[in-house]
Amino acid sequence: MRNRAPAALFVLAAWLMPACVWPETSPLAFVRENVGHVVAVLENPDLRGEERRSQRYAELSRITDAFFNATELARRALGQRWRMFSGAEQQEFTQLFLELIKQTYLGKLDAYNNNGITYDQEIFQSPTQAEVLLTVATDKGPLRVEIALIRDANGWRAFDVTVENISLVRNFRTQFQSILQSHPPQYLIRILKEKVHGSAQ
Amino acid sequence: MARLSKLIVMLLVTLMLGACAPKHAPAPDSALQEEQPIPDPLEPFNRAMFRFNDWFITDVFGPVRTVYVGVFPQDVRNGFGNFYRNLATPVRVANDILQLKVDKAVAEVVRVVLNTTFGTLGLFDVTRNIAWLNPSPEDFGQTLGHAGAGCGAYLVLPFLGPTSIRDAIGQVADSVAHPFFWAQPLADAALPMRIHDRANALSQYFDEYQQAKADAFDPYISFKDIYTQHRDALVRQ
Repeated sequence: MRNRAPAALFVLAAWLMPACVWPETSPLAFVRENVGHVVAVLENPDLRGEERRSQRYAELSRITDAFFNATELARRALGQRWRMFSGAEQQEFTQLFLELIKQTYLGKLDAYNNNGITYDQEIFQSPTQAEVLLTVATDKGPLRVEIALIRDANGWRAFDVTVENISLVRNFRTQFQSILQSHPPQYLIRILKEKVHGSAQ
Repeated sequence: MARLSKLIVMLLVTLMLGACAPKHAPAPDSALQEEQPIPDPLEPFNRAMFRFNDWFITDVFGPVRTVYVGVFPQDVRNGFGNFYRNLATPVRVANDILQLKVDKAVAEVVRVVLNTTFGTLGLFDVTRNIAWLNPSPEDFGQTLGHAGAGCGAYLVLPFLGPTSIRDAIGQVADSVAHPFFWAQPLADAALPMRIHDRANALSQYFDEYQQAKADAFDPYISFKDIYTQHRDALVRQ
Protein backbone atom coordinates (compact mmCIF):
# COMPACT_ATOMS: atom_id res chain seq x y z
CA MET A 1 0.00 0.00 0.00
CA ARG A 2 2.87 2.28 0.95
CA ASN A 3 4.45 1.68 -2.48
CA ARG A 4 1.29 2.68 -4.31
CA ALA A 5 0.90 6.02 -2.56
CA PRO A 6 3.47 8.01 -4.61
CA ALA A 7 2.00 6.66 -7.86
CA ALA A 8 -1.53 7.59 -6.81
CA LEU A 9 -0.33 11.04 -5.80
CA PHE A 10 1.39 11.46 -9.17
CA VAL A 11 -1.77 10.49 -11.06
CA LEU A 12 -3.81 12.88 -8.96
CA ALA A 13 -1.32 15.70 -9.53
CA ALA A 14 -1.27 14.98 -13.23
CA TRP A 15 -5.03 15.11 -13.38
CA LEU A 16 -5.20 18.37 -11.46
CA MET A 17 -2.33 20.05 -13.32
CA PRO A 18 -3.39 22.35 -16.16
CA ALA A 19 -2.48 21.04 -19.60
CA CYS A 20 -0.22 23.96 -20.35
CA VAL A 21 2.21 22.98 -17.61
CA TRP A 22 3.09 19.75 -19.41
CA PRO A 23 5.97 19.96 -21.82
CA GLU A 24 4.51 19.94 -25.33
CA THR A 25 5.62 17.59 -28.08
CA SER A 26 9.11 18.39 -29.31
CA PRO A 27 9.65 19.17 -33.02
CA LEU A 28 11.42 15.83 -33.48
CA ALA A 29 8.63 13.92 -31.74
CA PHE A 30 6.08 15.75 -33.89
CA VAL A 31 7.90 14.83 -37.12
CA ARG A 32 8.51 11.25 -35.99
CA GLU A 33 4.84 10.83 -35.09
CA ASN A 34 3.60 12.16 -38.43
CA VAL A 35 6.14 10.20 -40.48
CA GLY A 36 4.98 7.17 -38.51
CA HIS A 37 1.37 7.89 -39.54
CA VAL A 38 2.44 8.16 -43.21
CA VAL A 39 4.40 4.89 -43.06
CA ALA A 40 1.43 3.20 -41.37
CA VAL A 41 -0.85 4.29 -44.23
CA LEU A 42 1.64 3.14 -46.87
CA GLU A 43 2.09 -0.23 -45.17
CA ASN A 44 -1.58 -0.79 -44.42
CA PRO A 45 -2.62 -3.81 -46.53
CA ASP A 46 -6.21 -2.51 -46.65
CA LEU A 47 -5.01 0.65 -48.41
CA ARG A 48 -2.65 -0.95 -50.93
CA GLY A 49 -3.07 -1.17 -54.68
CA GLU A 50 -4.23 1.06 -57.48
CA GLU A 51 -7.92 0.57 -56.66
CA ARG A 52 -7.37 2.01 -53.13
CA ARG A 53 -5.42 4.97 -54.41
CA SER A 54 -8.06 7.61 -53.61
CA GLN A 55 -8.63 6.19 -50.13
CA ARG A 56 -4.88 6.19 -49.51
CA TYR A 57 -4.62 9.73 -50.86
CA ALA A 58 -7.41 10.90 -48.54
CA GLU A 59 -5.59 9.45 -45.51
CA LEU A 60 -2.27 11.00 -46.52
CA SER A 61 -4.00 14.29 -47.27
CA ARG A 62 -5.45 14.36 -43.77
CA ILE A 63 -1.97 13.81 -42.28
CA THR A 64 -0.52 16.53 -44.52
CA ASP A 65 -3.18 19.04 -43.38
CA ALA A 66 -2.16 18.46 -39.77
CA PHE A 67 1.55 18.43 -40.55
CA PHE A 68 1.90 21.77 -42.35
CA ASN A 69 1.11 25.27 -41.25
CA ALA A 70 -0.52 26.06 -44.60
CA THR A 71 -0.46 29.85 -44.20
CA GLU A 72 3.23 29.90 -43.29
CA LEU A 73 4.00 27.57 -46.18
CA ALA A 74 2.18 29.84 -48.64
CA ARG A 75 3.53 33.08 -47.13
CA ARG A 76 7.10 31.86 -47.46
CA ALA A 77 6.51 30.56 -50.98
CA LEU A 78 5.55 34.09 -52.01
CA GLY A 79 8.14 35.97 -49.94
CA GLN A 80 7.72 39.73 -50.14
CA ARG A 81 5.09 39.32 -52.82
CA TRP A 82 2.70 37.95 -50.17
CA ARG A 83 1.86 41.58 -49.43
CA MET A 84 0.77 42.15 -53.04
CA PHE A 85 -2.11 39.72 -52.45
CA SER A 86 -5.41 40.82 -50.91
CA GLY A 87 -6.75 38.87 -47.92
CA ALA A 88 -9.05 36.82 -50.16
CA GLU A 89 -6.25 36.18 -52.64
CA GLN A 90 -3.92 35.08 -49.84
CA GLN A 91 -6.54 32.63 -48.62
CA GLU A 92 -7.20 31.25 -52.09
CA PHE A 93 -3.49 30.98 -52.81
CA THR A 94 -2.88 29.19 -49.49
CA GLN A 95 -5.50 26.53 -50.23
CA LEU A 96 -4.35 26.03 -53.80
CA PHE A 97 -0.68 25.87 -52.88
CA LEU A 98 -1.23 23.22 -50.20
CA GLU A 99 -3.31 21.24 -52.68
CA LEU A 100 -0.52 21.52 -55.24
CA ILE A 101 2.03 20.26 -52.71
CA LYS A 102 -0.22 17.30 -51.93
CA GLN A 103 -0.88 16.45 -55.57
CA THR A 104 2.78 16.82 -56.48
CA TYR A 105 4.31 14.84 -53.63
CA LEU A 106 1.81 12.46 -52.05
CA GLY A 107 1.66 10.23 -55.13
CA LYS A 108 5.45 9.86 -54.98
CA LEU A 109 5.22 8.35 -51.51
CA ASP A 110 3.94 5.13 -53.12
CA ALA A 111 7.54 4.51 -54.20
CA TYR A 112 8.65 4.43 -50.53
CA ASN A 113 10.27 1.06 -49.91
CA ASN A 114 10.74 1.22 -46.12
CA ASN A 115 14.53 0.95 -46.21
CA GLY A 116 14.58 2.91 -42.98
CA ILE A 117 14.47 6.46 -41.64
CA THR A 118 17.01 7.79 -39.15
CA TYR A 119 16.14 10.82 -37.05
CA ASP A 120 19.46 12.62 -36.72
CA GLN A 121 18.93 15.86 -34.86
CA GLU A 122 16.61 18.68 -33.88
CA ILE A 123 17.99 22.19 -33.93
CA PHE A 124 16.23 25.12 -32.29
CA GLN A 125 16.72 28.44 -34.08
CA SER A 126 14.50 30.19 -31.56
CA PRO A 127 11.82 29.14 -29.07
CA THR A 128 9.32 29.14 -31.96
CA GLN A 129 11.42 27.82 -34.83
CA ALA A 130 13.25 24.56 -35.23
CA GLU A 131 14.67 22.16 -37.78
CA VAL A 132 14.53 18.38 -37.72
CA LEU A 133 17.19 16.52 -39.69
CA LEU A 134 16.57 13.00 -40.86
CA THR A 135 18.05 10.54 -43.31
CA VAL A 136 15.90 8.38 -45.55
CA ALA A 137 17.60 5.24 -46.88
CA THR A 138 16.82 4.62 -50.55
CA ASP A 139 18.04 2.16 -53.16
CA LYS A 140 20.22 4.93 -54.61
CA GLY A 141 21.77 5.89 -51.29
CA PRO A 142 20.88 7.96 -48.24
CA LEU A 143 18.70 11.05 -48.72
CA ARG A 144 19.21 13.92 -46.27
CA VAL A 145 16.00 15.71 -45.38
CA GLU A 146 15.54 18.84 -43.26
CA ILE A 147 12.11 19.82 -42.02
CA ALA A 148 11.66 23.41 -40.89
CA LEU A 149 9.00 23.93 -38.23
CA ILE A 150 7.30 26.82 -36.55
CA ARG A 151 5.37 26.73 -33.30
CA ASP A 152 1.86 28.13 -33.58
CA ALA A 153 -1.16 27.97 -31.32
CA ASN A 154 -1.60 24.27 -32.18
CA GLY A 155 2.01 23.33 -31.47
CA TRP A 156 4.76 22.58 -33.95
CA ARG A 157 3.90 22.63 -37.67
CA ALA A 158 6.14 22.32 -40.72
CA PHE A 159 6.61 25.14 -43.22
CA ASP A 160 9.40 23.82 -45.46
CA VAL A 161 11.03 20.58 -46.50
CA THR A 162 14.59 20.57 -47.79
CA VAL A 163 15.81 17.48 -49.62
CA GLU A 164 19.54 17.22 -50.32
CA ASN A 165 19.96 20.97 -49.78
CA ILE A 166 17.07 21.92 -52.08
CA SER A 167 14.36 23.81 -50.25
CA LEU A 168 10.94 23.15 -51.65
CA VAL A 169 9.61 26.54 -50.58
CA ARG A 170 12.59 28.46 -51.92
CA ASN A 171 12.31 26.69 -55.27
CA PHE A 172 8.66 27.69 -55.59
CA ARG A 173 9.43 31.21 -54.32
CA THR A 174 12.03 31.72 -57.07
CA GLN A 175 9.52 30.65 -59.71
CA PHE A 176 6.65 32.69 -58.25
CA GLN A 177 8.93 35.72 -57.94
CA SER A 178 9.78 35.43 -61.62
CA ILE A 179 6.10 35.13 -62.60
CA LEU A 180 4.96 38.00 -60.36
CA GLN A 181 7.60 40.33 -61.77
CA SER A 182 5.49 40.67 -64.89
CA HIS A 183 2.02 39.45 -63.84
CA PRO A 184 -0.56 40.30 -61.17
CA PRO A 185 -1.47 37.91 -58.29
CA GLN A 186 -4.64 36.80 -60.11
CA TYR A 187 -2.53 35.42 -62.96
CA LEU A 188 -0.50 33.26 -60.55
CA ILE A 189 -3.70 32.05 -58.88
CA ARG A 190 -5.10 31.17 -62.31
CA ILE A 191 -2.08 29.09 -63.39
CA LEU A 192 -1.93 27.49 -59.95
CA LYS A 193 -5.58 26.52 -60.36
CA GLU A 194 -4.87 25.11 -63.83
CA LYS A 195 -1.96 23.06 -62.48
CA VAL A 196 -3.96 21.74 -59.52
CA HIS A 197 -7.00 20.86 -61.57
CA GLY A 198 -4.85 19.59 -64.44
CA SER A 199 -2.94 17.17 -62.22
CA ALA A 200 -6.14 16.13 -60.46
CA GLN A 201 -7.49 14.78 -63.75
CA MET B 1 48.58 43.72 -77.17
CA ALA B 2 48.40 40.13 -75.92
CA ARG B 3 49.10 41.38 -72.41
CA LEU B 4 46.31 43.95 -72.71
CA SER B 5 43.75 41.36 -73.86
CA LYS B 6 44.83 39.04 -71.01
CA LEU B 7 44.29 41.93 -68.60
CA ILE B 8 40.83 42.64 -70.04
CA VAL B 9 39.87 38.94 -69.77
CA MET B 10 41.11 38.85 -66.15
CA LEU B 11 39.21 42.03 -65.35
CA LEU B 12 36.03 40.63 -66.91
CA VAL B 13 36.35 37.36 -65.01
CA THR B 14 36.96 39.26 -61.77
CA LEU B 15 33.92 41.44 -62.41
CA MET B 16 31.75 38.46 -63.24
CA LEU B 17 32.93 36.49 -60.22
CA GLY B 18 32.31 39.46 -58.00
CA ALA B 19 28.79 39.72 -59.32
CA CYS B 20 27.39 37.59 -56.58
CA ALA B 21 28.80 37.25 -53.13
CA PRO B 22 28.94 33.81 -51.58
CA LYS B 23 25.63 33.16 -49.96
CA HIS B 24 25.06 32.07 -46.44
CA ALA B 25 22.15 30.13 -45.05
CA PRO B 26 19.18 32.49 -44.94
CA ALA B 27 18.06 33.24 -41.44
CA PRO B 28 14.97 31.14 -40.82
CA ASP B 29 12.83 34.16 -40.14
CA SER B 30 13.81 35.89 -43.36
CA ALA B 31 10.62 34.44 -44.80
CA LEU B 32 9.58 37.49 -46.72
CA GLN B 33 12.99 38.41 -48.07
CA GLU B 34 13.25 38.73 -51.83
CA GLU B 35 15.32 35.94 -53.36
CA GLN B 36 18.57 37.21 -54.92
CA PRO B 37 18.91 35.01 -57.98
CA ILE B 38 22.27 34.24 -59.55
CA PRO B 39 23.04 36.85 -62.25
CA ASP B 40 21.93 35.59 -65.62
CA PRO B 41 23.06 38.06 -68.29
CA LEU B 42 23.20 35.24 -70.85
CA GLU B 43 19.61 34.11 -70.25
CA PRO B 44 18.56 33.85 -73.94
CA PHE B 45 21.62 31.68 -74.68
CA ASN B 46 21.16 29.70 -71.47
CA ARG B 47 17.48 29.05 -72.19
CA ALA B 48 18.38 27.82 -75.68
CA MET B 49 21.03 25.50 -74.19
CA PHE B 50 18.55 24.31 -71.56
CA ARG B 51 16.08 23.41 -74.31
CA PHE B 52 18.82 21.66 -76.28
CA ASN B 53 20.00 19.67 -73.25
CA ASP B 54 16.42 18.78 -72.38
CA TRP B 55 15.80 17.54 -75.91
CA PHE B 56 19.03 15.55 -75.76
CA ILE B 57 18.27 14.03 -72.35
CA THR B 58 14.66 13.21 -73.16
CA ASP B 59 14.70 12.21 -76.82
CA VAL B 60 18.24 10.95 -77.39
CA PHE B 61 19.46 9.75 -74.01
CA GLY B 62 16.00 8.56 -72.84
CA PRO B 63 15.74 5.53 -75.18
CA VAL B 64 19.43 4.67 -74.60
CA ARG B 65 18.82 4.84 -70.86
CA THR B 66 15.87 2.44 -71.12
CA VAL B 67 18.18 -0.19 -72.63
CA TYR B 68 21.01 0.68 -70.19
CA VAL B 69 18.91 0.24 -67.02
CA GLY B 70 17.48 -2.95 -68.52
CA VAL B 71 20.97 -4.39 -68.93
CA PHE B 72 22.52 -3.04 -65.72
CA PRO B 73 20.39 -3.39 -62.57
CA GLN B 74 20.37 -0.72 -59.86
CA ASP B 75 23.13 -2.35 -57.79
CA VAL B 76 25.48 -2.51 -60.77
CA ARG B 77 24.80 1.14 -61.63
CA ASN B 78 25.45 2.05 -58.00
CA GLY B 79 28.73 0.13 -58.32
CA PHE B 80 29.76 2.19 -61.37
CA GLY B 81 28.94 5.36 -59.46
CA ASN B 82 31.02 4.16 -56.48
CA PHE B 83 33.93 3.36 -58.77
CA TYR B 84 33.98 6.82 -60.37
CA ARG B 85 33.55 8.54 -57.03
CA ASN B 86 36.48 6.52 -55.65
CA LEU B 87 38.58 7.42 -58.66
CA ALA B 88 37.96 11.14 -58.18
CA THR B 89 39.25 11.10 -54.59
CA PRO B 90 42.48 13.06 -55.40
CA VAL B 91 40.34 15.98 -56.62
CA ARG B 92 38.38 16.10 -53.35
CA VAL B 93 41.47 15.63 -51.17
CA ALA B 94 43.31 18.43 -53.00
CA ASN B 95 40.37 20.77 -52.43
CA ASP B 96 40.00 19.67 -48.79
CA ILE B 97 43.64 20.61 -48.26
CA LEU B 98 43.29 23.92 -50.12
CA GLN B 99 40.39 24.76 -47.80
CA LEU B 100 42.38 23.53 -44.75
CA LYS B 101 39.69 20.95 -44.00
CA VAL B 102 42.13 18.35 -42.71
CA ASP B 103 39.46 16.12 -41.13
CA LYS B 104 37.70 15.79 -44.49
CA ALA B 105 40.98 15.06 -46.28
CA VAL B 106 41.79 12.32 -43.73
CA ALA B 107 38.29 10.85 -44.09
CA GLU B 108 38.64 10.80 -47.90
CA VAL B 109 42.02 9.04 -47.72
CA VAL B 110 40.77 6.40 -45.25
CA ARG B 111 37.69 5.93 -47.41
CA VAL B 112 39.60 5.41 -50.66
CA VAL B 113 41.99 2.94 -48.99
CA LEU B 114 39.14 0.89 -47.51
CA ASN B 115 36.99 0.97 -50.65
CA THR B 116 39.86 0.19 -53.01
CA THR B 117 41.11 -2.66 -50.81
CA PHE B 118 37.91 -4.22 -49.54
CA GLY B 119 35.46 -2.86 -52.08
CA THR B 120 36.93 -4.36 -55.27
CA LEU B 121 38.66 -1.21 -56.54
CA GLY B 122 35.85 0.95 -55.28
CA LEU B 123 32.94 -0.84 -56.97
CA PHE B 124 31.49 -1.51 -53.52
CA ASP B 125 31.19 1.27 -51.00
CA VAL B 126 32.11 -0.56 -47.80
CA THR B 127 32.18 2.75 -45.88
CA ARG B 128 28.64 3.71 -46.89
CA ASN B 129 27.21 3.43 -43.37
CA ILE B 130 30.08 5.15 -41.57
CA ALA B 131 29.00 8.79 -41.42
CA TRP B 132 32.42 10.38 -40.73
CA LEU B 133 33.90 8.61 -43.78
CA ASN B 134 31.33 10.26 -46.04
CA PRO B 135 32.17 13.97 -45.90
CA SER B 136 30.48 16.32 -48.32
CA PRO B 137 32.53 16.52 -51.52
CA GLU B 138 34.80 19.49 -52.22
CA ASP B 139 35.76 20.80 -55.66
CA PHE B 140 37.69 23.81 -56.90
CA GLY B 141 34.54 25.85 -57.49
CA GLN B 142 33.80 25.41 -53.78
CA THR B 143 37.42 26.24 -52.93
CA LEU B 144 37.05 29.54 -54.81
CA GLY B 145 33.74 30.15 -53.03
CA HIS B 146 35.35 29.30 -49.70
CA ALA B 147 38.03 31.89 -50.46
CA GLY B 148 35.33 34.50 -50.98
CA ALA B 149 34.81 34.44 -54.75
CA GLY B 150 31.25 35.00 -55.88
CA CYS B 151 29.61 32.50 -58.18
CA GLY B 152 29.62 34.81 -61.18
CA ALA B 153 27.13 34.60 -64.01
CA TYR B 154 24.95 31.54 -64.55
CA LEU B 155 25.83 29.37 -67.53
CA VAL B 156 24.16 26.42 -69.20
CA LEU B 157 26.62 24.45 -71.30
CA PRO B 158 25.62 22.01 -74.03
CA PHE B 159 25.76 18.40 -72.71
CA LEU B 160 27.36 19.56 -69.44
CA GLY B 161 24.32 21.37 -68.07
CA PRO B 162 24.10 24.18 -65.53
CA THR B 163 27.16 25.81 -64.01
CA SER B 164 28.50 29.27 -63.19
CA ILE B 165 31.60 31.16 -64.29
CA ARG B 166 33.28 30.25 -60.99
CA ASP B 167 32.31 26.59 -61.16
CA ALA B 168 33.27 26.29 -64.84
CA ILE B 169 36.76 27.57 -63.95
CA GLY B 170 36.73 25.10 -61.05
CA GLN B 171 35.85 22.19 -63.33
CA VAL B 172 38.83 22.94 -65.56
CA ALA B 173 41.16 23.10 -62.52
CA ASP B 174 39.69 19.88 -61.08
CA SER B 175 40.22 18.02 -64.33
CA VAL B 176 43.98 18.52 -63.88
CA ALA B 177 43.88 16.92 -60.42
CA HIS B 178 41.82 13.96 -61.68
CA PRO B 179 43.63 10.66 -62.37
CA PHE B 180 42.08 10.77 -65.85
CA PHE B 181 44.56 13.59 -66.56
CA TRP B 182 47.76 12.18 -65.08
CA ALA B 183 47.43 8.44 -64.55
CA GLN B 184 48.16 6.03 -67.38
CA PRO B 185 46.39 4.01 -68.72
CA LEU B 186 43.31 5.86 -67.37
CA ALA B 187 44.25 8.98 -69.32
CA ASP B 188 43.90 7.07 -72.60
CA ALA B 189 40.35 6.07 -71.73
CA ALA B 190 39.46 9.37 -70.08
CA LEU B 191 36.83 10.57 -72.54
CA PRO B 192 34.73 7.39 -72.78
CA MET B 193 34.98 6.92 -69.01
CA ARG B 194 33.91 10.50 -68.34
CA ILE B 195 30.97 10.05 -70.70
CA HIS B 196 30.04 6.79 -69.00
CA ASP B 197 30.31 8.42 -65.55
CA ARG B 198 27.92 11.22 -66.56
CA ALA B 199 25.53 8.91 -68.40
CA ASN B 200 25.45 6.51 -65.46
CA ALA B 201 24.73 9.34 -63.01
CA LEU B 202 22.04 10.74 -65.31
CA SER B 203 20.47 7.29 -65.70
CA GLN B 204 20.08 7.15 -61.91
CA TYR B 205 18.17 10.42 -61.73
CA PHE B 206 16.42 10.45 -65.10
CA ASP B 207 12.96 9.94 -63.60
CA GLU B 208 13.54 12.61 -60.95
CA TYR B 209 14.66 15.01 -63.68
CA GLN B 210 11.53 14.40 -65.74
CA GLN B 211 9.33 14.71 -62.67
CA ALA B 212 10.96 17.95 -61.50
CA LYS B 213 10.48 19.36 -65.00
CA ALA B 214 6.80 18.38 -65.04
CA ASP B 215 6.23 19.83 -61.54
CA ALA B 216 7.80 23.20 -62.35
CA PHE B 217 5.96 26.32 -63.45
CA ASP B 218 9.07 27.40 -65.35
CA PRO B 219 11.55 24.49 -65.61
CA TYR B 220 14.42 26.81 -66.59
CA ILE B 221 13.98 28.97 -63.46
CA SER B 222 13.36 25.92 -61.29
CA PHE B 223 16.53 24.11 -62.40
CA LYS B 224 18.58 27.29 -62.10
CA ASP B 225 17.39 27.59 -58.51
CA ILE B 226 18.08 23.91 -57.79
CA TYR B 227 21.62 24.35 -59.10
CA THR B 228 22.16 27.53 -57.06
CA GLN B 229 20.77 26.08 -53.83
CA HIS B 230 22.85 22.93 -54.24
CA ARG B 231 26.09 24.78 -54.92
CA ASP B 232 25.53 27.37 -52.17
CA ALA B 233 24.98 24.57 -49.67
CA LEU B 234 28.15 22.77 -50.77
CA VAL B 235 30.21 25.96 -50.42
CA ARG B 236 28.82 26.48 -46.91
CA GLN B 237 29.62 22.91 -45.75
